[in-house]
Amino acid sequence: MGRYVLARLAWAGPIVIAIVVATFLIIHLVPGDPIQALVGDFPTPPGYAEQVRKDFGLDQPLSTQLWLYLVNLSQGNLGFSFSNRQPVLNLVLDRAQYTLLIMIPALTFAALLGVMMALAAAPRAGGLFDSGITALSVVGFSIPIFWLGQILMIAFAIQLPWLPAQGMVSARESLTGWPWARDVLWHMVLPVFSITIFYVAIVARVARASVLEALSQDFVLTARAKGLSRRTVLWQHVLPNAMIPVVTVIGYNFGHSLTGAILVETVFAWPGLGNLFITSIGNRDYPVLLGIFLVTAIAVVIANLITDILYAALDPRVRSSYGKHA
Amino acid sequence: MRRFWQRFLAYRAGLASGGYVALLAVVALVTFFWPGLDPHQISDTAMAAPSLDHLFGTDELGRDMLLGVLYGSQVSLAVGVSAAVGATLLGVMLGAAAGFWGGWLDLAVMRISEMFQVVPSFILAAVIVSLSGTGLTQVVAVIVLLAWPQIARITRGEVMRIKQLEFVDAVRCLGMREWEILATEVVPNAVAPVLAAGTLVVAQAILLEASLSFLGLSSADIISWGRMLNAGQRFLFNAWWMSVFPGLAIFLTVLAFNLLGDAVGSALNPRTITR
Amino acid sequence: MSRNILEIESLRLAYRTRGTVAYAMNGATLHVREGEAVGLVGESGSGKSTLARATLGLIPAKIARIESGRMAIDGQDVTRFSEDEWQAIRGNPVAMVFQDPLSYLNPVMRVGKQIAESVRMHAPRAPLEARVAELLSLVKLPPAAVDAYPHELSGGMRQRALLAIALGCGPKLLVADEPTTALDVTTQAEILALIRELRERLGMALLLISHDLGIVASACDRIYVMYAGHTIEWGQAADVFGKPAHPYTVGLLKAAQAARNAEGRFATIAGDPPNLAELSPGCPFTPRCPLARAECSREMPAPGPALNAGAQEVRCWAHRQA
Repeated sequence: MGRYVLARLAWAGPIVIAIVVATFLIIHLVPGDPIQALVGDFPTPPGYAEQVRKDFGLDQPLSTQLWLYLVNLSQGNLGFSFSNRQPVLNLVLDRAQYTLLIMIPALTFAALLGVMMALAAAPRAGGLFDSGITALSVVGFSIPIFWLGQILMIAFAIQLPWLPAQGMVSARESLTGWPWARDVLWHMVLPVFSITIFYVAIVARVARASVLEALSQDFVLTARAKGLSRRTVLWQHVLPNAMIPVVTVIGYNFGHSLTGAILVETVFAWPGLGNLFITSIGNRDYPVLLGIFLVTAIAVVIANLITDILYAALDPRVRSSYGKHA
Repeated sequence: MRRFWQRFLAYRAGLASGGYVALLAVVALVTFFWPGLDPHQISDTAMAAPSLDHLFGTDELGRDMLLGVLYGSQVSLAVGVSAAVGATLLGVMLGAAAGFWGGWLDLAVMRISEMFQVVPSFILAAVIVSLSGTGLTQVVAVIVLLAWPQIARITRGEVMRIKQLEFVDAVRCLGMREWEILATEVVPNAVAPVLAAGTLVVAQAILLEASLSFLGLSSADIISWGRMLNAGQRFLFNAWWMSVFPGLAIFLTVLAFNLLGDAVGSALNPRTITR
Repeated sequence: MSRNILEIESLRLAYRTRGTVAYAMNGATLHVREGEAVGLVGESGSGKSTLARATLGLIPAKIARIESGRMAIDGQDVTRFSEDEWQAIRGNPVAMVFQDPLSYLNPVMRVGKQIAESVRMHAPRAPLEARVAELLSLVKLPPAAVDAYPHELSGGMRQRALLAIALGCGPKLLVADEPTTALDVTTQAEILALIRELRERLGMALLLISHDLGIVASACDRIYVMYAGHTIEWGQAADVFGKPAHPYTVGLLKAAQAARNAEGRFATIAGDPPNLAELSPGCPFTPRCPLARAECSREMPAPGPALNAGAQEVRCWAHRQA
């Protein structure tokens, strides 16, 4: 297992470097002065642009620039956002926690719901419920998530004023403690629900396929031949095997879900990365956009790494095949 | 060919999607060439709910929503198809070369496509477009950049499978040069899954363009469904029709291309189920 | 006279799919006495695997049902058993080992835990770790195997693990469905020797099912020959294999011994195995039988003694003096 983890880490390293280099290339390959990408179009104090020019060595040869860029990055210098009056890195990390606040519950619900739906459909394979799941997953795959958010908002916050439509807290009041938490939770419902619906389709489809596959495996026969009850066979033998593709599909789609969360935030004015993204586009605050890209890309690499480790923890065959390679 | 049509027609969803796409193409062409219709026309009846006069209502400037949605099909189809064609061409070239000759070329192509798989592609697209300008060409270019790896991977796999078949050696003995073999013998046999994947890329491209427009990363002069949703976002409380109809158009179109891609995939290769 | 641990009497089991009926077991009769080793041979499609699974009720009622006949295990009539009732007797008194040990073991669960499941199910008050260790040594697996995953073991070791799982239930009858087919020849011999030893030590009855005549001959006291869902010949191994009675058995043995016929070609059984969904009344072997006569296609004969052979019983018109 240890060797597997090290091998995965060794793979992640070059990818992160590649991402950083790619970001660097973007800054320099887009039409216009690279200074614009590093400073943005938002009004900045005089002399700031000159400072950035010097810090990043923009009049120096490209290789030196790359080196300086890496140095700056490693010190956490992703630039300064004047429209938000904060260093970019702090800003992005700060907002990221709010994005995670809606992402994690959504993915958890999607996972649980998807698996439950698959378990309900599996005994009646080919039946109505089963075809329903397959149909639902194509629909879920095709629906624009931001439109889904808008529809939900129209339905449940505007036409039927059950839930708050925007923001994380009600602007009119300033609450603390438990009432504040309740208010936040209430505001979370629609954004989380939008993301959940989107992902239940994908999870249910994978879960259904893997449950059906696991049920037809030979070792299920051995388990039954021992005299184990149907329930024991399901929970002890079928599910541990069936869950593996479900975990990997959620884990390896982390980037996709992050994108979905960001888009949903713009619809509900949720104060996370998505909101930051769209306001920065409006303000032409490019260092923030690049910062978001870098941070999210690295987050996805980390998520992939965690999924790899989780996968190896759940399926011992993966660990062994890796050992043999080395 | 006959078997293809038989299987294709048997897949009813594919048939319906094909019909929808054809209809959409007709709409796009008609709106492009028909003189006299002006979707940009501002009127006095702003923010009117759907009625017999305006079946889809009007927007904040009094423009007819139905016309807008119909005109929006031009952008979606244009961007979707051209991005898919571009990505397919690029992907097939790189993937076929990688699969056929292997070696460092293969390694390089695989590593690069792996990297694209990892980064959140939409965010990358948004960043590039915001930095380099919001014209349609930039958008198509960015989508091509993001979509070619999946086509390349499929092409590479197919080419690697086909190059081992005996007829390739046979043709080689006839004196055909390597790249000739690749272009005229190997690649044409790899067309089937690539075609299916290419159709799915159209769906992704339309969704990507819509998402970018939704965030405001598109030209304000061009009518696009995503852009209409961007406008509708501000008026969700008062004019639900500004968001419902354009979004529905996006959803149905993307759904149609996804189902079409599935149908093409299973019709061309009955052994595999695409999804 | 010890009693029968397994009794199958004229059992008919049908697979019904839209419109077609296929009799996987068509009046099969088979007995296994306590402590006895019985072999069941036949080609693919003869119904022997179906019989094996039926003895544990592992064929879902939706797929196939017992239409007539009777089956009893350890004195209990199981013909009309429900799933719950089957679950109560699986493992103990009857347990099963299967053909390909890799796919029949849960890949993500340690071997020791899979064995422990059997023990916990059937001997809940036994000290678990000790009992598992005991079973491991019984099947000659190293104690370290307890923490191993199936894919980390060799084919032979996995089959031993499957045996340990079956033995952990404390069965009186072990049904072994092609237990050595997936193994190489040397390992086959080891596993057979192990099964023989276990039988002697535990006094377990054995129903060994295989298409490999040699294995069955060396391990079993009595043999049943099955064809197209019928048991057509049975008796002591020496009789059935030494002096075969039924034309099918004769052909089978000649083919197995790679005997040559008068023209110097390998002796084979002419024709193809029958389609179980399109059976005519009478003996299913008729189209391929060199001794076929008029009665054969009309009616399946009742069991009777074999003529000019050993003490076995056979269902064949050629062995009736009309």
